[in-house]
Amino acid sequence: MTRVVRLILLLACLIGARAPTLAAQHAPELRGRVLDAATSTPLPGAEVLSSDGSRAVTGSDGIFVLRALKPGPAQVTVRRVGFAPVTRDVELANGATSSLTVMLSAAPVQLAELTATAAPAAGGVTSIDRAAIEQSGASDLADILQQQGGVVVTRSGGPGSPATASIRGSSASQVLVLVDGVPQNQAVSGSADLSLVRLDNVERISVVRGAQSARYGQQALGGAIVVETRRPAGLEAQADVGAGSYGGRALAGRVGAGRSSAGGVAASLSGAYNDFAGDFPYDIPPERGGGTGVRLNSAARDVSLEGAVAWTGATAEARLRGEYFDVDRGMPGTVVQPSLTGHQTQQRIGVGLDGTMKLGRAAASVSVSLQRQDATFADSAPPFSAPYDDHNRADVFLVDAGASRDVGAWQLSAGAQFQRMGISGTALGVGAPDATLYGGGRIAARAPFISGDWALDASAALRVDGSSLMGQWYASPQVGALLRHDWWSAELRWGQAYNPPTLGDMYFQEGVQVEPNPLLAPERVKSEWSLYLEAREAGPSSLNASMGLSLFTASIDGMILWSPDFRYIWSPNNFDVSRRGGELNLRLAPLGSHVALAGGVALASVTYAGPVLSGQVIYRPLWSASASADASVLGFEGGLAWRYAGSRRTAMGTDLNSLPPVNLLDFRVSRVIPIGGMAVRARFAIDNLIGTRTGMLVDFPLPGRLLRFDISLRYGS
Amino acid sequence: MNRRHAVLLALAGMFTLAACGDDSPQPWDFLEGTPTDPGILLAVNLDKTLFMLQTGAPDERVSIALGTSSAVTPVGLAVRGTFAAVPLGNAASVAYVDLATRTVERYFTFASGNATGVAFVDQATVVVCNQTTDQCGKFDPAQGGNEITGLVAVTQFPASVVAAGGRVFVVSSNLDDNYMQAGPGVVTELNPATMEIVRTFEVGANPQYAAAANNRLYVVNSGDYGLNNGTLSVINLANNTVDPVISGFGDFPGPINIDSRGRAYISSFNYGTAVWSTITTEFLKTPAVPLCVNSAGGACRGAADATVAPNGDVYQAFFGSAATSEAAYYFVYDGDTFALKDSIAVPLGPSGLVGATFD
Repeated sequence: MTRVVRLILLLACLIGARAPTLAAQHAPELRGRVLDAATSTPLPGAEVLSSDGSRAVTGSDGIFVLRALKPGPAQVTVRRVGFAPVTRDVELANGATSSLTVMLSAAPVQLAELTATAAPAAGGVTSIDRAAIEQSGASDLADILQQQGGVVVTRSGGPGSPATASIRGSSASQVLVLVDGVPQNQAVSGSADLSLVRLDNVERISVVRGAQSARYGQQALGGAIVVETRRPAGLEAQADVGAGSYGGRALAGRVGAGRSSAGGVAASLSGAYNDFAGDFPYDIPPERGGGTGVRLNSAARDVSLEGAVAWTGATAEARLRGEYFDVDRGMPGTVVQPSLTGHQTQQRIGVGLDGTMKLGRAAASVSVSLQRQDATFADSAPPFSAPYDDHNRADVFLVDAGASRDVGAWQLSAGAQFQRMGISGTALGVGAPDATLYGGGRIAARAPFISGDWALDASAALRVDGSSLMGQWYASPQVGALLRHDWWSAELRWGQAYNPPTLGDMYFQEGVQVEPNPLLAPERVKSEWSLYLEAREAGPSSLNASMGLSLFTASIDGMILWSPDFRYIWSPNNFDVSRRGGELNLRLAPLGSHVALAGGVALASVTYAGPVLSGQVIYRPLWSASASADASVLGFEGGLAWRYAGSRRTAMGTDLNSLPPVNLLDFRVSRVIPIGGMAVRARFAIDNLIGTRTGMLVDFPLPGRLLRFDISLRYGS
Repeated sequence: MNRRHAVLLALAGMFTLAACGDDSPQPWDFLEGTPTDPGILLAVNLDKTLFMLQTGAPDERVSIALGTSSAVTPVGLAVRGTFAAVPLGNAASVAYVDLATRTVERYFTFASGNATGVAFVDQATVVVCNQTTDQCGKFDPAQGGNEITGLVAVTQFPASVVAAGGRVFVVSSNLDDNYMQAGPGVVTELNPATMEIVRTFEVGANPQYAAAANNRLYVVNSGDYGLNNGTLSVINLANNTVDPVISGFGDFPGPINIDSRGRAYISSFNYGTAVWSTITTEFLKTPAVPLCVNSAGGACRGAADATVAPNGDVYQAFFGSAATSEAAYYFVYDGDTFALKDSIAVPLGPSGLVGATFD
């Protein structure tokens, strides 16, 4: 392993020697402007689509920005109502921002009103842009991810309650959630609570499926969710107010000023408040007498505040960002062991500085962040066991630096990351460290080969990760080849991934018949093969259809699962499992039509490889699916969204006592009314239209049908 | 009657007999066992089921789901007639199971807590305890509501209930909220009619299981985990006295079953099953040389429980361990020689063994 580290350092030095500045790696960006060919005036509202599925809409100045793109050759299509669409080829490189100006000519074809979407993209990546986020009406990360194929979101109750994600049948701690590059996975549990990521200030969400340690580092065993927050965009103002069932209240606002163009400085400040009173009815299990009850102590309230200052230069940009988040919510326990006194609070305060610079064919970036997480979990009168009052604090310092450079046809990049996490509190027991250190280094290379209409993009990446918790280094390579021709593309990828045990698994406070396991080994994807097939049909009179199919097979060494030992004492242990499956996503938005349809189905077989247990691992649905229909009629925009999770095992090695499938259907309708230079949007939504109360977790029911109404007033971008 | 009519009548008779003698299996047929061995072995499993197996045909099995809730953690089993009562642990309720139709007929519930020991006193009285509220109550399977009533406070941490001769005994471990021993274990005798406390008996440290035989109650004191200090307390039910504690029951002994020959089978996750004669008060198999089947590493597999089936063989439940890749088994020993006769792979996590016939 030492040789690998030396190799990485050597390559990093070589790249750095050619690049004037060394900095952090960021995914390719494409910035540009769309103009009317006849008048050379900016065209607002033009849709910009990249071949990897990313999407943006031009602002009033005709400017668009596409972030977190996939490196390599790409096609960008620009279209707007009343204009003929234009498609351009571009080259995208890590750490680099490309620019593009497109002139659109008026055309007699009347296109449909544009609809924001979360489109399937190459390599199993789904990008959800700001327009799609706003259109969905989702309030937190869980709300919007649960509509994505292959992502199973498990929420333990109503709005504001904890929620986690599983990708390809992974554990929650095997999904890395990054917000502006900062991991949101919690210090003790290792899982990211998606309810703690509000969407008011999010610009884009990318869902990356499969073993991704080579690109994103440890924990990306099942996939990664990459969230980018909104950058200050000049003069803007926005105010949202909403109300809903069971005392639901929401308030959000955002103001911005300055110039976001070259040489300018812009700043923004946003805040949000959400409240849910809870106390919703639920179905009482038969063993508790049946009937319905009221879910008490299920209230949730959160407050968030974010501010950012951004400077944009000709070849560089920098941003300083700060955030504060506070959630206060009940812990109602299970329906058979309810708690009226369980309570948790979590606070997060953080500051981050990131910058990028481009010099010739080289680019560099760096980011530094500090974050403090405080959490309390208390119950003065729990339904069983002794009262508890646990506090936990984590101070996280993270620095990431990287550089990229084009050498001939080759695009090379390298970077390094360091993190220190200080831990204190009462949640962890004997032997727990006061702090953990983590370091990682990465190199990547890709070489595009283009011949006529054919494009082959070969890529390789290697990352090494080490932490003081494990005491050794782990390498995660990834290689892939993407073949693109005309309307289709195919990509074959092989990779490994690594995830250390969580502090909670190894050192939590011991309880009755539960024990931590300090001897846990890391989870390793020792081999994952993924095949991605994409087809896209687009044109001025086309169906505007796209299809993505991914197939995967992987063997995982030492997946950490809880099980009882021979003494009936529950403890986390390593199990070898295999995961196989696929995801099929379809989208149809015929031009000239006012309807867009999308849907997907996913199969995730995650089975034990050992001799004792067989079959699907508990709480992993074999099948999941989603579908949506959006329409625009008479100035109203509305849609239906359906999602499905198949039956889930609740006992190891048997289908007995499995949970029934869950079907959920959401409805929304909205209308935007321009008033002077402002726009007012009114929206009505019914979540869980059919009133399903069966939850994803046994004993944690859903609140049934929820009605929401909100009004948004905005000025500027 | 001519010959043709006679043949037709004979054929009609055969069809009628064939119809009456339809041998398609019915659910209740299972409980009859095999013609040579009517024994049924019952247990509760980690997969939240009541598991039954014919001892005469071990491949004939039935699993009855007890509920999907995560709080459903069955911790014991009592059988009367063709019905079983299963305390569901964290679900704070008891499943009343019709073994013949393989269905949970009713659930009886505490307001909250953790349902542990259960015992049939008679057809109309089932006593069950709550480890969280330190109370015991009762229900009548034919009662109108689902509530467990007649709650009475007992010494903290009631772990099991034994009914013998119309009397009811509750074994309390006497552990505090931190699960540390607050004092000697206590056995509380309840009047099942009034649910009032009749008397209490002080026994050894951390008692968890008991069984009655010979007009005596044998209480296993588990002691401290890892300290090899398990003991046995014997309560003389004739004169309501407690004999001196008997030591030597090894590390953390647990479930006890006594057969018709007065042999007590005491199992421990840490060593296997010890056999102790209630007649001679001597070990037939000691904790040091117990009934056990060695694992691959050479050490004794621990035992979740052991009982004597109607066919006279000793059935020992090995809990299994997914963590160490060891499957669960019923190990079958000859009831006279204790020689290992069979190993039957079963679903993970059996406990609460009961051997019965349902003639």
